[in-house]
Amino acid sequence: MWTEKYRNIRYNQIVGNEKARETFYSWLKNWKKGDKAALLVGQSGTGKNTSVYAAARELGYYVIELNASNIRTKEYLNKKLGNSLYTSDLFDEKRMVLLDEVDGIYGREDYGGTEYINQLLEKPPVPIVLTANDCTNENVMKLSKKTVTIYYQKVPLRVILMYLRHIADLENKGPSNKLLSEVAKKSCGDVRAAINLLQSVIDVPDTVEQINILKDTVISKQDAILALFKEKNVEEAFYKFSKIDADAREKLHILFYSILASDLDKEQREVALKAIADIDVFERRLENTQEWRMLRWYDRTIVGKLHNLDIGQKFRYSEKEPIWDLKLKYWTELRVFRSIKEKVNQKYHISTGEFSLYYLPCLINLARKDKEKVLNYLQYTGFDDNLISFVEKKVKV
Amino acid sequence: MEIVEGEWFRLPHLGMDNFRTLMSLGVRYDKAKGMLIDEGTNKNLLVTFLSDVLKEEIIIYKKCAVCKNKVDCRICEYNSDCDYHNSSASCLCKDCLKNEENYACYIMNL
Repeated sequence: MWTEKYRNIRYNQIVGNEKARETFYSWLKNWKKGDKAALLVGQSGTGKNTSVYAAARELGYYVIELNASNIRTKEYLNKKLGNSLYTSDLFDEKRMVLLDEVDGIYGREDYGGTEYINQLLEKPPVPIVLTANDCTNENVMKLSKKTVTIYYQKVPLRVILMYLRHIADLENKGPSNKLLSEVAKKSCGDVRAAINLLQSVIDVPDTVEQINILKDTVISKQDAILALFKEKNVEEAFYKFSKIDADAREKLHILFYSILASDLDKEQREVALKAIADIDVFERRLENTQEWRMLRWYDRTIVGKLHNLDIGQKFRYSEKEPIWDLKLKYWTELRVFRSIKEKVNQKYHISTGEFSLYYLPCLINLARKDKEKVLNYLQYTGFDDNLISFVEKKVKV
Repeated sequence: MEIVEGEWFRLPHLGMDNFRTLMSLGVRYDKAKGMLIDEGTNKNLLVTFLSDVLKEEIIIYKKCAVCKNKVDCRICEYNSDCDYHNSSASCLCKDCLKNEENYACYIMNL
């Protein structure tokens, strides 16, 4: 891979973000024990990690890297870093720590990771560099208060073009200016993406047109969601939906709000909401297990579940949350429901899940057959008015 | 009004509220040197804000990393594809881009 081959370059051979690189180099060069850590924030392919490794090589540091593929719990970080930070080896080698993509440390998988990093940042024993892609991330915003924050921006396309030409020369390839220009345009300021694309197209004839076809066409959220319900061909619907400029959670929210806003009959709404619930379960499992490679099936699952619902005419796109009255109804019921569950727990020593799954539907069904008997039983067993009025309401529905 | 990224510039007195807005947009201020746009500045919003307050067109130039001349992104051939307001401050001018030794000159100038 050319990206790996041209990664081990000298510090001044990196392109783009000249000021940011200068700031980082001087931070590392002048670092003394107890100085603040550095937080490099910027999109991928802007030279954050390359800067760290190139500067470390030139200033004689050995880099201990923990990237996003490691599980970064408190125990793991302590085991990996604990001793090496406070001791030195036989050759008294200088060490520094690189924590890559700190905006990705969250959830059960990385339990305690952020806390450990925060403690480490109080008085760092060695230079610590954190990198992040998203400056609006909550973790990153907290960390930025304790660190020297350096922003890396996209690299201008003319600079990328210059670098691509340099790489092509080193590889003894003679691509046309038009091809280089198209690759630079496609990169969107990401040097790594540009090098990868150049490597993949440089030896293929007539690629300029192909690159133009490859060029990502981002479809607006509204068009992509509408295509899901209105496009006849499932593959066409999938193609358009997969081009949506929104993350997994946002897609789900828009679909949910749209279905609530649409004028569907009871059965259609039920089926659509059931499909949304299934997708929600899938998305939550992805988040909990962090099996992100499964994300490639996410769009396919949505299209599979929602495309054939035949609600195209009644579907109404909405990015807004459901109306207040509806939300209020959900919240009010939820509060009552919770209080009931607590009582049942105490009385019958069963879990809340078990009660909601088996006991409550049974109670409601029984009440539908003989309401008085069930209500009398509930009163007799000492339940308060909450459960009684809840069951009464459900029986009416 | 013309502003060059990475170079200090001065603005007329705009009042405390506007000054606060400028600071919140990430503009750096030094009493002696004036104001500076750097990587932390939200250039898109800054252009909108300043053109609204000053009632004139605001042009932000980049600087050529090789010859240090001003580079006008509005007339660049990559204008429609380059997110120039969110890109780093140094670019290349048209003449330096044509130069076959431009990469060598680029790394020499850093």
